[in-house]
Amino acid sequence: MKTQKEAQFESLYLDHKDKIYRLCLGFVREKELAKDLFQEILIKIWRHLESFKGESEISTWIYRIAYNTALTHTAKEKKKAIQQTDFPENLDLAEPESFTQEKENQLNALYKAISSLPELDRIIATLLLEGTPYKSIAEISGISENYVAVKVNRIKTALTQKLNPQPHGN
Amino acid sequence: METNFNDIQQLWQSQKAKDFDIQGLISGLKKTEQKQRKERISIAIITPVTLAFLFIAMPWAESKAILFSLLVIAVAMLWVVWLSFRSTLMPSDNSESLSNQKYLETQLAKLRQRYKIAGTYMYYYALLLAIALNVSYYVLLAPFSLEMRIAVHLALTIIIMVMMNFSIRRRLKKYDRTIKPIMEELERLLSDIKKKEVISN
Repeated sequence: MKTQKEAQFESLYLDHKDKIYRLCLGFVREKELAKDLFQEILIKIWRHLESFKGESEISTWIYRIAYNTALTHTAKEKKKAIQQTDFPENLDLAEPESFTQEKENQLNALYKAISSLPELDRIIATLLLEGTPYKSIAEISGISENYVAVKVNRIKTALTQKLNPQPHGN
Repeated sequence: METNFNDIQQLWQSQKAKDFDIQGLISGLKKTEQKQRKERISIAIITPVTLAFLFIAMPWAESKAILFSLLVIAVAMLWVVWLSFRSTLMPSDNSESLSNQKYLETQLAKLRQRYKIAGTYMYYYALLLAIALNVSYYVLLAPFSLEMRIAVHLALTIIIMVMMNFSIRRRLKKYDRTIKPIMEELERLLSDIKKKEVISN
């Protein structure tokens, strides 16, 4: 029989898996590394689930964990110091078969564009792409709402430019 | 055709994570939790058992100096165990769910504390251990000649210090390889966030 924690974890997983997976791809690009990061985030959500006190929206709490994990994962990845645990090796996160090659290419270009941004901008960009309100972006990143608004304009311009390259220079 | 931000947003949200074996993951997590529970129990048992053995083996009732020495060893051992295994012994903290800036500050503080334990507190531990053992040996070696006693005290102190120094340096070298690059990266991220926040104000 499932415990209350298991049931809550499963429900959170179903509600947030897509967003978490997308943020992983925005942070690390390579699918294998994204899987590692995805798993690391789920592990942390599980470990800290009992400490959630309802002081913020559960989604804000999850994304704080997810982005914090992504930040340290990026730092750790350089040293390959990931702790070994007893988890299944076959976490299949392949895209649904209906994905066309063209869309795949577009997505890869988007991940490339996002991962070329500085870490803080990457966080804001991925939250923005999820349609997250500025207030929540500020809560998750720890910067002021005004500054989020400033960054959003720059990020929108940067991403649009990167995905619409000018063929002849300037 | 030019891609605008709404198109980018739609493209981004079209990416879905395919379901995977969530039950397998939960089962793995539960196994890990069981392992950690066993580790906590082992730590909680081994130290008192070691101390109990010392109190049984040493004639502390016959001399206040030996009793003092054993108490110093006990305090030093408990202190080091607490410092080294605090994160394992304590339930998880909530630092993971803090804002990015606060989280990075917490992570850095934790890593700095690990360096401090290895580089500073372990020397205090070695000093306490040397004092405690020398006090015991002062009593135990009472029947021997003065030269013999001085030689034993000197040898004991030098051995403890050399061994601890070797072990601490090895640990610090390992930290320089594994923890230091992570700390530098986290410091860079933190300064980046702070710098941008200052510019915005």
